[in-house]
Amino acid sequence: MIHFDLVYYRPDTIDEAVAAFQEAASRGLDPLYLGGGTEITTFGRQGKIRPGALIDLKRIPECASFGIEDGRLAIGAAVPLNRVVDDPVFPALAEVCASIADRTVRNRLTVGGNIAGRLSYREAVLPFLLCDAQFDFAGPSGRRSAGVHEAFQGRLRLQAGEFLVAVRVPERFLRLPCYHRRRERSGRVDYPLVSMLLSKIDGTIRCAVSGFFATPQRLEPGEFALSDSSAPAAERAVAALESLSEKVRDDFRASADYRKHLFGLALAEGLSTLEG
Amino acid sequence: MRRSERLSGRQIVGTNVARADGKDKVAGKVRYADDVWPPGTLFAALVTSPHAHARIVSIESDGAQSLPGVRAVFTGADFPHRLGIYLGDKSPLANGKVRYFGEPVAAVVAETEADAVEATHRIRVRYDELPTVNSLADALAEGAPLLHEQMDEYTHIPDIHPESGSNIANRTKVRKGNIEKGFREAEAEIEGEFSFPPGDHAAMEPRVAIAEIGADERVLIRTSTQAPFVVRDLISRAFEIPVGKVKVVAPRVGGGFGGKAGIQLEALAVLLSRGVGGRPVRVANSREQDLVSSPGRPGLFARVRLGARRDGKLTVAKVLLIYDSGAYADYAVNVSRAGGFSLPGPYFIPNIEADSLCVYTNHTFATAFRGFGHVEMTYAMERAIDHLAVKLRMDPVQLRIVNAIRAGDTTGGNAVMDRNTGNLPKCLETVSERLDWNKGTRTILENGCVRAKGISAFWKAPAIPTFTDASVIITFNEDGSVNLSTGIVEIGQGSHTGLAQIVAEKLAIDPSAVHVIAEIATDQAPHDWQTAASRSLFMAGRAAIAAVDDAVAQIKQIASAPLRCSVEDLEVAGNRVYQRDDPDHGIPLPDVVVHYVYPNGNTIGGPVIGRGKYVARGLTGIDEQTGAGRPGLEWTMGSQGVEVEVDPRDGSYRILRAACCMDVGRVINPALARGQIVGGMAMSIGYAARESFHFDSRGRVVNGTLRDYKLLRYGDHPEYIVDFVETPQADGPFGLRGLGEQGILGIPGALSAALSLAAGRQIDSLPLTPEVVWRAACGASSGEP
Amino acid sequence: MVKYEGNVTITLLINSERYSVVVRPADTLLRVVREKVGLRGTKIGCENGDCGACTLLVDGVVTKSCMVLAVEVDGTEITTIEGLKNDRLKDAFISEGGFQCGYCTSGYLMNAEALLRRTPELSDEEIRVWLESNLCRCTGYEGIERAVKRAAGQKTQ
Repeated sequence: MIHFDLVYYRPDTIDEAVAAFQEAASRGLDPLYLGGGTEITTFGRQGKIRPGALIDLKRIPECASFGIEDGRLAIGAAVPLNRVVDDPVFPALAEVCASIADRTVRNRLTVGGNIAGRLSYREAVLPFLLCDAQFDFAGPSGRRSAGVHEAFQGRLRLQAGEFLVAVRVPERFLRLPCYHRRRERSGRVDYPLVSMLLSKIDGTIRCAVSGFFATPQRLEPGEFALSDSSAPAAERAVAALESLSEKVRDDFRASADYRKHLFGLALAEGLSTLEG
Repeated sequence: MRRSERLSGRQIVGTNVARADGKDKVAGKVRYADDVWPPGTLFAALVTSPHAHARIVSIESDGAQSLPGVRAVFTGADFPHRLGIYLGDKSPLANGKVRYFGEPVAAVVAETEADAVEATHRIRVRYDELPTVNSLADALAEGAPLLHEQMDEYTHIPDIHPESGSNIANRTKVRKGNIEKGFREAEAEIEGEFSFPPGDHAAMEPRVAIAEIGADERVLIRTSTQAPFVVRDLISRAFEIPVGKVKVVAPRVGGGFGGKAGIQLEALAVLLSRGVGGRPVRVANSREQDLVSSPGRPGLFARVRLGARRDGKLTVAKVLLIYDSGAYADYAVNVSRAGGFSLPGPYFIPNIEADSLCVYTNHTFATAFRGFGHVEMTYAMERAIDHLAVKLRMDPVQLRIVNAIRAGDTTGGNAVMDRNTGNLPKCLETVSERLDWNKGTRTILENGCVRAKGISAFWKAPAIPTFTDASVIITFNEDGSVNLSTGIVEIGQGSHTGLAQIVAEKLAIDPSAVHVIAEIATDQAPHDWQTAASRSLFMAGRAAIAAVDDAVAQIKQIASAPLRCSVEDLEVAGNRVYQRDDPDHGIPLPDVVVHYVYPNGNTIGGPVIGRGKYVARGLTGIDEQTGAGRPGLEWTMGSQGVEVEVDPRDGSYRILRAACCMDVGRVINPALARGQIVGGMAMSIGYAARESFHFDSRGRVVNGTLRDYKLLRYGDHPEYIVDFVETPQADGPFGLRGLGEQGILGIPGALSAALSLAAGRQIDSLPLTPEVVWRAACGASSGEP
Repeated sequence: MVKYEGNVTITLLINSERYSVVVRPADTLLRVVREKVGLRGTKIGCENGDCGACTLLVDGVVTKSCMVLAVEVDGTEITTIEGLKNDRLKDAFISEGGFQCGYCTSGYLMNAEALLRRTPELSDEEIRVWLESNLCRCTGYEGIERAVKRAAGQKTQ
């Protein structure tokens, strides 16, 4: 149970949402935008966060939509993960989402909530990192869009009072061959030790990973090595690993050494799969 | 068919009678402890320690006291007494210092739970951190910080031997035969060290206690407990209230596994209620508190040295078991004792020197847990035996059969096994057959995966006081149906159903006509030690049989008058009392059990009340120097085995099959018995493969939620194969032995054996995560010893 | 736009009955169902989304009620264990040993109900994906597997 009081707003439009946020902020209530609410209820109960107001985005049409518009798949930030899983118009996103948490919780987890939340795994962002997705925001300064690499650097970069409205992915990326491999410590329902998404786009290998570093990343420096199809997959995996300078996670779930080992195995297998 | 014969041929014991509470459970109608709040209930919330070892400098609660809705704030100073079932070492709220991460330091009582929790965030506690005793090695090192500086002042039962000036809360010794002789006779030897961290019960229902106090000082506690009479006794002593004025109610419990044995939240609840003028106060653990603030199970370090002849016959065992019982040892002093006196497991070894220690550390403290010290002992011995099998180049099944304890052999405590001894060789043979042991124990598949098998043997007797008791009262309703009152709590194990079956069989009536009283109230139920140690059906079953015999004697005595025959000629069955050699000459029980009324109105008899009791027979304590004695009521033994499929590239594996064969004397209800074994195996898989607390460098638990403390989930479970052997236990009801715990004993050993075989290297610690298996396989292939 | 502040009265439609309850916006659906409406069959196990003891249906969608605020779902149709009418499913849990202590059972039944409504033609994999959302500490999952498959009309051993 959440022991502190809060004010709950349920706007029907983007403008109402922003106005509600501003009203709450001006009252000193430290408002948060509410998607599925899984993090807010649990972290609130644990005393880790203490918002004085919540602005529920689930009724806003742009946040709830899921479909092709103008040659792009528009995924509303408040779309539950199971909607994406059960309607796999974007298989890479469906597969990644299907591996997060458990089925029941995925009815509440939202694409936007997963990416914008405090938990640092943010796996739903992996396909977007590969597909040069566009992120649409709304806030007190109005609407804006940004490419994924500007909008997301380990975490979503939001201006004060902003929320993620939707993510848009050009149609040509939806059916790309992808390889996804997720490994956990002991059982499927857990955070990942490594969740890797590989794709071959415009002749080059793109790789994004969660659980391996502190936050989800594109493997930019390493991708160059990955795309050298003259070298065997295993060798390329080693080269890619060696090119990484960022610290690999080491915690009670797994050591950095084991994560690197899993990473290497997944890379090698993924490269073989993508290149037939 | 004559009415009297209708049910006499029907077997009830040994059949799958449905649980009486089944319909309520699937309808969500069972009222667990937290489902009933007395009017005016207040709510408690706890402040717990963020440190594993620290002195409490100050507690400022003004900010909390002033919140509207807050009725009172308590700290350790409000109750400086130490409690404990065997060793009184713990106060309900920390006094002076905190000894483990999550230890309760203060409590708030308020009108709503939200008020109470909010108030806890306004309480400022200042600590001075102390050096952390973060391992057994730390605890036993020269000059180690003492967790309990005042240990010498603690009261304890005579069977517990704390060692002054140390962190050793108890030492249990086993000295049998002569180990020098044993080592001389040995033709092969191994020595190994085996270990695992502490863990938790993680029952689905978190602990909760609601206490209130009447104007006449009568205490009423409703609590999720396995031990209503123990709670009553300890509350009476701790608060100096006559025991007859303390009433404890145990409703249906949502899983216990030992974690709700002894005393848990009840003393705190009474303390808080007393502080608010006796109003009902609910103390309910959050899941995090249930995992970390309330006790779990111990960790282990063990060193085992075994000697044997070439033919496999063990000549000697030298064993050191050290139980990491965390900050408080209350119950765990007996856990380590039980692990000690159950050495060396279900084997005959003529020469044994063993020490079993219960040691304090700044880890989460331990209480009774399913297996009561035997998972630890079994793991250490089974690993050692597997090391020996490799050394002797002997099949692990054969090595165990060669050494299996048999009737006439002596235990570690020099007690002679009687003819009730279970058939361990048969259990081992059955498990090995079920797993196709003869077809090979290590196979490499085409895809490179390795399939491997491992086996283990185990035993356990109830670890109980020598004076453990059970009693049952039977009364009758107007239709001849029976009410059964027992002190056994239904925690999911099915004991209430088993008792109903026993009574129904004895009276030759339908089990649905036996109503077992669901909630145990200590002022109504007859006394029972507690629902633990796998003795409930054994002892309460004996008591139930005695109660039926008593009732039947009364019925016959009453009926002999109108039937004009002697008592010896009468039979009671099928809801009638009748002349054995002329069954039609009889009276329906409804006409007898409340009263018998003659045609002219004269009345004889009166309500029949069947009384039955049972105390543990012939038990002794154990000698302080040698461990000799007879502490075990009956030993249930068996074997477990697993088949795994391992991917050597990353150590990941699946358990394909898990088999168990156990000699239980007599199966009362096959479905419920299987349920207990399968449930025990699932818990055992979790224990072996993935469950453990992780402590950071300052002794703080880092995985104290169910998201991070991983239990087995649906889909991770193997195919379960369960068989029973029935070598009768002459003194058990219908020949049964206890079986509630034993399912948990064998998987750590068997799984370790299988994965070690697959990896090509012995793995001597738990949990057996893929990373651990991978490291072992890497070590093996790189030729490390 | 809806705005709830302080104690508010909301309407919950639970098991086809209309309940008017006074709640805090911070109150979870789990607590409101148990403590304000008085339906105690839905259980508190972790309040962290991990165990599933709090599972019920919101507009037919299987949901862990510890992670939902009551104010989020006012006006929706909620089904709790008390409103589960599927005797075939319940009988299967009884006959196949789908529970022991019973504490996780309400949650499992609601999840299984939602799964069976989706399609009675279930693969092992699909059953696993749904049921791994709930923890059980007593049964080892064998009885639950048999019960759900039996309720789905599949042959059980």
